[in-house]
Amino acid sequence: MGVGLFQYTVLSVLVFLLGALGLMIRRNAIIMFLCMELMLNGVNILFMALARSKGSVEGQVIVLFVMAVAAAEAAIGMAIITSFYRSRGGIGVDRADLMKW
Amino acid sequence: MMINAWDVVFFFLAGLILLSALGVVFIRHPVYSALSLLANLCVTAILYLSLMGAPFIAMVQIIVYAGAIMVFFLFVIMLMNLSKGEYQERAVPWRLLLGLGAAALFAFQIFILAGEWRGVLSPGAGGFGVKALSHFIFTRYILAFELVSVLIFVAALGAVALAKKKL
Amino acid sequence: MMVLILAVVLIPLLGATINGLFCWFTKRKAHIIAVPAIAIPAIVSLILLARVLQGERFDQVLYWWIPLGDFRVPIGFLLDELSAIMITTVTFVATWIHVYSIGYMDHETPRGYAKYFCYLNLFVFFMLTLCLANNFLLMFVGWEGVGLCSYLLIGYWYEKASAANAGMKAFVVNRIGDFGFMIGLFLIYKHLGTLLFSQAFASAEQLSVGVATLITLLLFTGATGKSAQIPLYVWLPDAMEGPTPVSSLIHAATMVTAGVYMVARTHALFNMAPLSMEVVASIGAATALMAATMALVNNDLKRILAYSTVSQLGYMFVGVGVGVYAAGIFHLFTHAFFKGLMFLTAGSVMHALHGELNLQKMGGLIKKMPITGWTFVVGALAIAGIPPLAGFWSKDEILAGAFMGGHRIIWAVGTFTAFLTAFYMFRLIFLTFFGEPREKHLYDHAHESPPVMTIPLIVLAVGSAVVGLLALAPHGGIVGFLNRTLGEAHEAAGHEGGLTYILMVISVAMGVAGVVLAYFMYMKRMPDPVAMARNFRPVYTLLYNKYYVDEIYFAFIVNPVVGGSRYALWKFVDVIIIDGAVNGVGRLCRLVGGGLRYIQTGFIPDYAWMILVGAVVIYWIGRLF
Repeated sequence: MGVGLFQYTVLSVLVFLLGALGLMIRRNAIIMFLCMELMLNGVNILFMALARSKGSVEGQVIVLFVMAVAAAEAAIGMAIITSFYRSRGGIGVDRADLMKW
Repeated sequence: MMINAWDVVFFFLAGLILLSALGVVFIRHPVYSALSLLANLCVTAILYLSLMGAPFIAMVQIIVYAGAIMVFFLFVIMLMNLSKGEYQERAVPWRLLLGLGAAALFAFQIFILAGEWRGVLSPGAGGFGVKALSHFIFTRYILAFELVSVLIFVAALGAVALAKKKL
Repeated sequence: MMVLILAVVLIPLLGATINGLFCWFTKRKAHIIAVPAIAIPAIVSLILLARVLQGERFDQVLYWWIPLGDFRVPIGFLLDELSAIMITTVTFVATWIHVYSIGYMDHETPRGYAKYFCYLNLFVFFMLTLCLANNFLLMFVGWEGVGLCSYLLIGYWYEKASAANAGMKAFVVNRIGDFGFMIGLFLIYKHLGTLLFSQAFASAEQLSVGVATLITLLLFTGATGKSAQIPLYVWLPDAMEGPTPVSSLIHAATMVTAGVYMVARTHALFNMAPLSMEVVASIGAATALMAATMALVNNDLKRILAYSTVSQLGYMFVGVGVGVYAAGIFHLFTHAFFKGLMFLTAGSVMHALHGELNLQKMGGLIKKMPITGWTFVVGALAIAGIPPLAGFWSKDEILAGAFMGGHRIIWAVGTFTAFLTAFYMFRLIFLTFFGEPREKHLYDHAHESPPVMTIPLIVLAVGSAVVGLLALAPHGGIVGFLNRTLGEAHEAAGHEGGLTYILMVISVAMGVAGVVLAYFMYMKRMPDPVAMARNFRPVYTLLYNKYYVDEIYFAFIVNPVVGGSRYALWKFVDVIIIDGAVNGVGRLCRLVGGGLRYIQTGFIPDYAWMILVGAVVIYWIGRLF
């Protein structure tokens, strides 16, 4: 049969959903953040696969941009987590309950 | 049925990727979790390099993701110096079930949609070079490129502002 | 020439802008900006007038203000004999009123002082726009602008309820007139396809008589509002709540004459509609008589002058209504001088008596304030039509025009009104300035006003005395000059030597008779006025209550509207339907939100699975529907 787009899609979706699962079951803010990076990586795999199958380089361009944005996001996210840690004394997201009804 | 060598490589790498992803999600200790993500990213880079013929992206993946961002994560984790109780989360079974359910629903959905994608990817080298990539970045995507540079700049400023003692 | 015209229009605007934006800085020095901002245009207007005298004209579109396909609204100016006279009058009188205001508004707060001068300059700007516009819409801009400034200035002491109400009354009543004016403009555009004066008047002859009548009557509706004619005159007496120089500038010399100017400007349309002309003349005559009778018994210094203004405006409409447009404008011109003067003197009296306006409490003031008193007498003689003062010439011109044009009844009414005018004016004078002081306390504290106020009085008094003589200037005098633009409806009637002189003698005799009667009644008590009031009680009461017009308007117009608004619109539509709907929406939102907030746990993992499930749900919603 040969490995095709379908197999890549399955891989990508599984990685993405593992990341999402991590977001859903973990409460440690840093690990949730890592899971988000994992989701981004899953999306990147799909982009790369599509670029390859369509013979177009633009998917790779998008991957580059995703990486750049992820870098920016990481910087801000880490800053937020640091300041959250300082003000709340921990990094469990269940500590963020000020706006909760 | 022929099983060619490239397919073996793909399934091997895919297995490693999924395994390390599981590690990210389920390892309790943040440092090991982060290291697992590092492994995941590196294996993905190998996938790009070997099967997809995208050496530039693979390098960037290693340098930016694995090199810069992950080191940054690890730094923060170390800085916080979490006590054991802090990362010892109590597992909540119904939440795990809920997450699995939602993920399964979504996966099912995607597979319905992607089921007809039968495109075959020719494995191996012979993809696009840096030249083709940069041609697109600096022509069609020049605006996005510039905006991303502004975004990164703003993010750097924002991180400095957020990380100050007094918020 | 364009530069000069722009200077005339824009310098007052500049003054208003400076005083408006920087009142915190100019404060008590506001007049240093404001007075030159009027004086310079006054000088420039004289230059322009001189150039128009030599036969120059200016009619040019400067740019297109609102270009909408075929419908294009220009900003453009027209300077001809008519507008030259108008801008000269406006800027000249306004300059002296500005000077006078320096003294009169002395007691105001610094900000209020600057605000006052800002409004005055803004008013002059709009008035000049009105006079110089070369199309209907720009004229309407000026028209509304002066209305706005009038509202602002009447309500200048807005802390006082009566002043604020008077401002609103003026605004609302004017709005009724403006409604007619606007419909007139729409009809002009519909039938003539242009708003430019030059094009509209050139093609005016295409109009059928019916359409022309309709248009002109609608325009005249606007004029009745702005120029305080029956039935919309009621705002003007109340407008006396404003500072007196404002009454002088706006409600005597300039703004209220806008209606007369507009009718004269659109004479090409009015000439097409004889019926409208009759209406204009009749309403003018009726207003003149009615306002004069109301002035007979009033005891409020400024209100008498206000009624007098309404009455004189009636004369002007008689002039333009019987087709002697130039005479009407001539009367406008002379009236600006003597009525502006009389209001200023009234202000001077008020200033001296700490705001007292009741004639019955005055008397003998001429000894205390000779300049004010004698300048007032000059103004009164002028309005009474005693030769050779200004009013004589212009009023005579109008009455002669009415008589020659075959409007005998209107002539008779006008002549009788001239008698009444002389009578009530001199009643005012004898009660205020002569005889014995009736209120010792007030009299003792009275004092002559400072020179900054008396000099404008003297200047305007001299003006009132001599401007009428312009009628004798070569080439037909000022009337001949204006007729270069206006073109008299019946040229030939003007020079029937003997008859003219007879009419002249009659009107002078009427004026003199009025003065003499006032002298006997109020100085000698020969027919004692109190006894007369008792003997003719019904008439006196009717006049004293101003024919109950305000009450009638209240009973038949204001109260139904207010009542309908209150009970039908407010209590029912607003409270039940609109508020009910709004509150109902609010209640619904609270209800829904109260239910939905339970899914807002604030716990990030919950949002994660909601996003995933939501994405699937949205896909299927899109797929199925």
